[in-house]
Amino acid sequence: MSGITTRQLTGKRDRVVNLNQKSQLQPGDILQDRYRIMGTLGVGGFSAVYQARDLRFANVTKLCAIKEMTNMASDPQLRELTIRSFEREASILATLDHPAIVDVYDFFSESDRSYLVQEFIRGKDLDAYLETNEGKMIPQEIVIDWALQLSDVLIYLHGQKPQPIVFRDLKPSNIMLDPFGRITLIDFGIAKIFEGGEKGTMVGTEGYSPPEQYRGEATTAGDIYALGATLHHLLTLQDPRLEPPFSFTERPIRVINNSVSPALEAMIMRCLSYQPKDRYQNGLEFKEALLTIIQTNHPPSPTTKIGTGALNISSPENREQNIPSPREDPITTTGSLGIVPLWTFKCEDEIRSKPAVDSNLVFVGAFDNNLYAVKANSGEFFWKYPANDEIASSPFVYNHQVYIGSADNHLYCVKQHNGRLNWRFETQGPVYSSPRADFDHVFFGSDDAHLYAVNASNGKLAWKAQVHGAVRSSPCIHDELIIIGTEGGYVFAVDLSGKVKWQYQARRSIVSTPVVVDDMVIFGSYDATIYALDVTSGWAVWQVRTKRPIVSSPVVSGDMLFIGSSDGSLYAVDIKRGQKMWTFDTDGQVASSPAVWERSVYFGSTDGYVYSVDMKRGQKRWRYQTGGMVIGSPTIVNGILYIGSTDKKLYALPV
Amino acid sequence: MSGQQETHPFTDDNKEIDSKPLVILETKPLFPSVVLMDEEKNTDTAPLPLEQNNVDIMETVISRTPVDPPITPYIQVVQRCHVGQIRRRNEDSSCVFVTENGGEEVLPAIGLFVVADGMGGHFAGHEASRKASRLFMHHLLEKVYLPLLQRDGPSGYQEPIQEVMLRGVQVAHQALQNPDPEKDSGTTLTGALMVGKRLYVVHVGDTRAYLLSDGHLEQITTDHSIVQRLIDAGQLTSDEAALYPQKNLLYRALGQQGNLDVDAYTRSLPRKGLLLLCSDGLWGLINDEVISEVLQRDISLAEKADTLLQLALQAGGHDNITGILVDFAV
Repeated sequence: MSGITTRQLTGKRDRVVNLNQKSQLQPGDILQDRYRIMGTLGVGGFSAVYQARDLRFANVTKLCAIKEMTNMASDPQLRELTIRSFEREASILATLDHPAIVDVYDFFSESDRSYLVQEFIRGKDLDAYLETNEGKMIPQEIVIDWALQLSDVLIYLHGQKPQPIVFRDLKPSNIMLDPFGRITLIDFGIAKIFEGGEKGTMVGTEGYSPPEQYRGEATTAGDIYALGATLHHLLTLQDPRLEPPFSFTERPIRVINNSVSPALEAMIMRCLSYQPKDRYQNGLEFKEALLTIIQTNHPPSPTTKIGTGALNISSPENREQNIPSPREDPITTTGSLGIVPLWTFKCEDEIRSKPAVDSNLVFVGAFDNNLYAVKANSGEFFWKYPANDEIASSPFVYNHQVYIGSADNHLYCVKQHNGRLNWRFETQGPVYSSPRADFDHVFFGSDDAHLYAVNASNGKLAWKAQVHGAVRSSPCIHDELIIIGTEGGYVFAVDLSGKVKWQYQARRSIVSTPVVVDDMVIFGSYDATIYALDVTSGWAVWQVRTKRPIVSSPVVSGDMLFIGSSDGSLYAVDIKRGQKMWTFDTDGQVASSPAVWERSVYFGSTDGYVYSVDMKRGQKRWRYQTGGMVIGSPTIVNGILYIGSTDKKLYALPV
Repeated sequence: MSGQQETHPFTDDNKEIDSKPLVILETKPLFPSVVLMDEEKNTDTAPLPLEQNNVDIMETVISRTPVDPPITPYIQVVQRCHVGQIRRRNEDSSCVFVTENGGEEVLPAIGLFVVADGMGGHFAGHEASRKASRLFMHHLLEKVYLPLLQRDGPSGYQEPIQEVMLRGVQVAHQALQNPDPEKDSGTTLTGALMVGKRLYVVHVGDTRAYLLSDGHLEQITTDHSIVQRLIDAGQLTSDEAALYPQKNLLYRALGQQGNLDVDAYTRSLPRKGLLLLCSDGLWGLINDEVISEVLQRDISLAEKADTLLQLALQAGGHDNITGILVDFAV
């Protein structure tokens, strides 16, 4: 019996266990003095399918498949009604005549069971095919061929008079595939007549059925949905019975299998519209659309014939040339050309920090030792203040003063309007940490392993706290806590007098500047982990892992957090669920700390580009190429993005 | 969110990191910079934990913002788990654990609550809900509470609590697996942990968690039911859903074959509020407006719980009715 499906219909989640299931028929049992049971082909909650031999043909082995359905109704009237519905539907099926629809020979009812005697089809159903295919993607040409054959069957059914026949239960397990690539529909939704309404909580989903079918509506557009669901399963290998119902639109085909053409994806997604009116209305509309795609994308050049669909398919090479890449929208296909900088400003060395913007001035530190002030609207030089060594720290503006650290061990306070020094404060190590000011004090760390609190107006030390390890992270001030990471891998939460309230140890150093949201402290670490800690206790709330170390600092918008990783991706995390939402890949490392403006997130990568990515779905809006790696971070004010690059330039880009 | 571990470069059993080519930029150290392979493998000795940090105070006063008046934290809880009017057996299970302590360096107050609703059509639904709720509770006490009792000093709790919660559900899920598909059992599970000022919720199925604060009732969990998906798909209104015949049909439950996706949720708690965990025997018969109104009445916590139970019984009580009602201040 090779090639015959013996797959247990119960193996999936769509099963609803039936405690009243009575014993199955055994080989040798005879029904109606005519059908001898040979074996079981499948068992479901309310039904079973047997292979049987028709004894009317005494001299030859005439095989048939017998579907047995158990009448669950306990009320005699309802029971009778069920049987009559069954007989009515079976009669209709018996009159159907199409090569791709299984023939119905006979039907009858005995005690609490009803039987449908059908043609026995050799081959296996598509569900079994998927299981034996071991996770290999099925070539699009083959799926298109099946789709054409299926659309022919639906055209036949939907064209029946006086009214269309709705198949109601299109899914891979109801589609038989014979060794010649021909398909046959084997099971109509007739078994549904016998499904009683069980009480109490139950689990199970049909996976392929349209939403309106759960309301009892069965229309030809519902068959189109089920066809779309089946094709989605065949092309993605994601079993919809294991996914939330009606979640196809959340799982775009090409994200899972990018060898599928955008046009076919769009067609299938249209089939899967929630609203029936938004789908193809019947088999004919579907087939016409499919033929249009085939003719557009596959000119009848070198042909291969597959199955009986008589479909002309061009060679794969041709196909790739003919199908435009869909993920490049009109803006991105023009690459950087769509984005023109409003201005650029050239420093004498690399910029690796984040600009600050205040009072129509952009402040940025560079590795040429200078803190620059540039006019925000024109990019015109305004003033510069020279430190004695590189500036990797990002400036912070507070009460008309600009605060910035330098590798020359100092923190500088410079007057915003003229760039003159107000005061400077010396530590025992380079100041890579970026200062933050509040409570009339400036807080920052130094490579001398201290966190400093310095009076913002006169530069006098209020306190310094030893934190065991160089500090390159920048302080996050929340309520009366100052939270900072260290090269030793600790995060400290320090109160306004410098006392440690709590500490947390990651596995590697923390350069990333923490952010506090919903009473969680969130930051990345060199140990490739994004941490969320409870701000009151320092206890770990959740972690999300990336593939390589994190230098980038997170930014939050609503319930979403964005952070870069040196694995090359930007990560979007749902902070309420501690769950990765999406990642966006670049060809470099994302050391840059992202910024959010309206519905997009912006950041740089060492591949040289500044990226704009849609916040919700993580799709590229545009990218702009600078002349060097982008390690610095963007600041966005009034729809203008300011970012420095290692090409020594500061860019002002329209978002 | 599944409890599966992704590969991670810094876990002990996985030293391999991806071999993306790295660009070495400069000979002199630059900061910030790209990450070099050497830096990743760096196993520098971690500094000693800080027992008492050294603070040099030069000037005493950094001005403080006014703080809210202090509040005495508490957790009070009442639970009701009733068989209902029709069923012979209670397939719901509930479990409550609350602990508070006094003295110096107090531990945070902890409240742990579980409601589970066994599958009616399944083999031994009552056993499934009981087993799942108790295993989950056991896991949380073992991994979160007991280590706290042995803790010395103020260092933080290192393992993410949300991962412990998710693991607890997976442990219960595994325990319900039965190789005989005709004998598997299923249950929903909604578990909530209050620790200090934070709430954690994990959830599978159509038991629910609600939070009432400032007169606003928020449903924290999302039902894993067909009817909820139909509402999301715009196919049903909430009113139609209440009358929908298959509203008990779930697409996700503990004990089903294969991987289990578990929803996890965390938020900081309001200073005062009420938390309600309940089965569909309660929320399916009383709408949210009524629940909200009862919870805000000027009656005792026990009276609120009894009122909700009575309303569900009066509305038919055709299913088991379970609710855990928590009054808290943090």
